[in-house]
Amino acid sequence: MGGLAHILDYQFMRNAFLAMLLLAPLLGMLGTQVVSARMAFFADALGHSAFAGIAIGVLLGISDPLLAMIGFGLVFAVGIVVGRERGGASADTTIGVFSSFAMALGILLLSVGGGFAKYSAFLVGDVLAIGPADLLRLAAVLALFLAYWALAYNRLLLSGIQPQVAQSRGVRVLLHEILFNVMVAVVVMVSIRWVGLLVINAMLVVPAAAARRLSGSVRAYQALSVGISLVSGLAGLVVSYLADVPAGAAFVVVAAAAYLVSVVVSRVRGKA
Amino acid sequence: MTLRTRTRTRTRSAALAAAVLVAASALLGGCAAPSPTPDGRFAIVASFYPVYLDALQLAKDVPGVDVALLAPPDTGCLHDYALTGGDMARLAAADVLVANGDGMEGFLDKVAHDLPDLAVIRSAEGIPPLTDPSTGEPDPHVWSSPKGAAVQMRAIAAGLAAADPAHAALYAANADRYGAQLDALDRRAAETLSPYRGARVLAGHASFLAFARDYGFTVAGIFGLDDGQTIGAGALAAMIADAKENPTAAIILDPQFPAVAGDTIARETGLPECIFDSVVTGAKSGAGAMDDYLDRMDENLDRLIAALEGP
Repeated sequence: MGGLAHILDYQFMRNAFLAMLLLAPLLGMLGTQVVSARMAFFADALGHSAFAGIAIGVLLGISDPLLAMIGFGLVFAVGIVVGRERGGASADTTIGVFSSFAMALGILLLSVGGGFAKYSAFLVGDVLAIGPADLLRLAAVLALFLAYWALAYNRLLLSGIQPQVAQSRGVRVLLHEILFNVMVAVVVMVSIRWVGLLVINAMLVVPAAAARRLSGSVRAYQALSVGISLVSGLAGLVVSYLADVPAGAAFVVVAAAAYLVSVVVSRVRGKA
Repeated sequence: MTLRTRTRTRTRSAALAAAVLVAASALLGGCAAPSPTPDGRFAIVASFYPVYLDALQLAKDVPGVDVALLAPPDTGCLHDYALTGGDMARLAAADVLVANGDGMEGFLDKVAHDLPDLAVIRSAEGIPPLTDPSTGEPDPHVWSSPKGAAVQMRAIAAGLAAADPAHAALYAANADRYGAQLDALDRRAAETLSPYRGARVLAGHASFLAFARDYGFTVAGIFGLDDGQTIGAGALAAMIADAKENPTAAIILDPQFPAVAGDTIARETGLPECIFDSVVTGAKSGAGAMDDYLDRMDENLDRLIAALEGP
């Protein structure tokens, strides 16, 4: 034991830090697009939809429900876009309906055995759950995302901020929206077991929201978002180790403090 | 609105209300799968799997007695179990509820209050409980030791005899028969495990405490909580450091819960992992389930000895 000095003596903490080094930049970058394109509610809904994925995995008897979660998350992510395009309701209504349905389905299915409480570990997450397989998965997702980001970044940015302009310039807005949603869904599902579905949305949104208030250019926005996400993530792990609290929640509290600072700083700058 | 239309509306809403009521009662009836006790039969409902097995053994060859399980058999510990409407209907139709008590069934007080005619056997409550060091609460998992299971089963036999005096002699005879089997299992456990008395172990759940006390293990730490969560990262690190400093024999896993934290400790310390099945869940029912406790405890003994002997 012995406080912070020995934190890296343990393989499970080394795994946790490594995972955070992979995940935090991913969340920081995805977050900028989520915030710019006003998708915070969508990301929240995705987290909730994981519940139904877990339930389906449990029902199918899969010991690791990740595949079922990703599968359900993909259907969900695409379903929301298609539902909004074809259904005629506003985006928030469509997302609300999807989100509530997935959450209710999850509760219903997991309660069949009366054992709902058994799955509460998914709500708050568990850093001990990170194994070598999770690290590989995260690295693969990060690589995939960076490739997509490099190839489609400008089109994605334009589709998110000004879809009509993007459309008029021949960008396939719907396709990019779906691809991005799928990306977010995969990241959320891969990391939810150890960060917790109650806070994963905040991990996407809060660092980017703080960065947005402080930055003047897109480049600075992204860099700052990644930076805040990384600092919050690593600080969250340290807090979680020292205080025996869930790491995901600690991450969000640190990021929220950064947001608070960003509000004050941008106000002060505005007055100056 | 004229009088006639108003009357018509009222008639219509009355018909609607009646239809809703009929539908609701049909639904409720559908949920309460087992039909209400046919006249003259004595209905025993067991709250969860371990006491269900006891009730099955005790009701063996007793005429006119039915034994049913309340929570689905894969539920496990009932600490956070929420009763469904169907469960309440089933209990309302029962004569006696065999429960564990000691906080295992969070709903017990509500049931006792709502169904004052239902006899409730709190079978673990005569057994002085251990304190679960991870929560500071009394540990209700008395059945996970054969010794505790025998005491608990005899308490259930006494409760059944009181609730159904006509068959008291039959329950007592069954208690003697099954009690002898449990006592034999207890002796076998004490003998085969005696070379390992005093061994330190880490446990994934408090369900191992009663067994550890009765057969001489020292539980140095518990890393899993009732809701399937594990202790925090810092506490786990302390447990690992402690296990590295003080000779520790094994990590005991409860198959009810994910093995993640146990695997983590095993990776860090190199300690062997051993599954201890507290028989809190089970897939069997009726006559086929009767010996499930004895069989699975035998397997536990084999696994424990294999893990403690080492390669």
